[in-house]
Amino acid sequence: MEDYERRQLKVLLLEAVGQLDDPDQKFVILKRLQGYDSREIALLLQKRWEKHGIRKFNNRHEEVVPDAAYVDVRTQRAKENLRKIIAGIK
Amino acid sequence: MEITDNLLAAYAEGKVTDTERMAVRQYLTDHPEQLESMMIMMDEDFDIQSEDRDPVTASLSFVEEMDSFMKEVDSGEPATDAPTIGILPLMSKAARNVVDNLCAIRSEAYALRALGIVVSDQELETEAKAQGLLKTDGMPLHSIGLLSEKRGIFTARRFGCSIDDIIGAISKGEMVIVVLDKAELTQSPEEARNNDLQHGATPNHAVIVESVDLERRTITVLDPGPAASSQTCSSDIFQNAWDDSSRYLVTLSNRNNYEPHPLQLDDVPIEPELMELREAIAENAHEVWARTRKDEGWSYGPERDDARKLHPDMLPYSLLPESEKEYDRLMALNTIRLVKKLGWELVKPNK
Repeated sequence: MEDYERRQLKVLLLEAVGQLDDPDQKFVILKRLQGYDSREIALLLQKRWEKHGIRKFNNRHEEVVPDAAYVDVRTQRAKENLRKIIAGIK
Repeated sequence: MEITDNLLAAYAEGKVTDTERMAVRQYLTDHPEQLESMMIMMDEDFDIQSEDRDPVTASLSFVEEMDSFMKEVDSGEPATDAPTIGILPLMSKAARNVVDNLCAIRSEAYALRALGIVVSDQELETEAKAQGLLKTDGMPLHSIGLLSEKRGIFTARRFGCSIDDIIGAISKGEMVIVVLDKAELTQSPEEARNNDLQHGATPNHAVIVESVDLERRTITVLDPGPAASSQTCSSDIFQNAWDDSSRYLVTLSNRNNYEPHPLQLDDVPIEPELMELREAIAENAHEVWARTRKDEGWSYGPERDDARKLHPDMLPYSLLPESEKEYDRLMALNTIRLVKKLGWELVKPNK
């Protein structure tokens, strides 16, 4: 059984995930927690965009197709935001 | 308070009162097996799953995934190969002493005196204030050592150092100042991790490294000032406290022992749209260089001739050989990476 404080921190972390403003960031973290890797999450994210009618374009007006690198960047930004959220909700 | 499914669902959506939130937190802490259900409730796109994946297999890995992810968020280090940036604490809040804001000044004054420079703490403090180096919160990391440079001392400031770097500096007779989280010098690694998770990395204290005992794996640091005191701790404890400043090290020496130590920036991911910025920076850097050269009387020549001030790169950027463009691009790329590494964001205003 892990210690009480660590369990508390896990609860705060999950609560913070729920507070992520960016839907893509929230999505990639939740799918990561469901056991998917970046490549798989990229495919799932594409499905999510299709489901919600989302289309994204880069500065060259090319349609963005999420790949593992796109997911990794969102994951990293989510982690940075999670640290800030956790510091704020403590 | 009764924890109902409706309350849990409301918590997942963030639609609860403070009292309800505290009650659910307590419930989940006492019932960690419910965390996975909570995670599923939070996922409004839970229906989106891979057809190739057995959902039972994925479900079984939740605890492991949660542990792994928590470590990443906790430490700022990736347990996966996802790119990450450890933002460097360069701003003025860094090096804030937990007692007052003079720790960096005292450490620098102590080091100067050890190097034979006659200067008092008060004198250096006055000078630092006059030059705007001493902020209310303390001294910015990048300002530590500036007053020593003015006295002809060879000063080097580096992030990402190791204990071996400290040993190397001390063995060369250099004075070593490190910035760390003072509280973590007396905390266990677990306590230090929780401290960082709760408060973030807090590089709040500058000290002198007196010695490193390789046999006992201990490090002794000196807290200079009116109530100067030495403290010896294990190298692991020291490392945890030092990590908070991204292992920032300032060395002061009477001799030039300079060795280039550029920041490690390979871990900084660059978004595709920033590659346009890289090209713009690279081209403008060439324009600035060429304008400076032109103002100094240089012009184009097929071979470099310093006497006649001729240079083969006095050409529009587009006509430069690729090797020269790559040099400018690398500089530009590292500039963008550095900006991000120091915690700034590059965002287009219209995005």
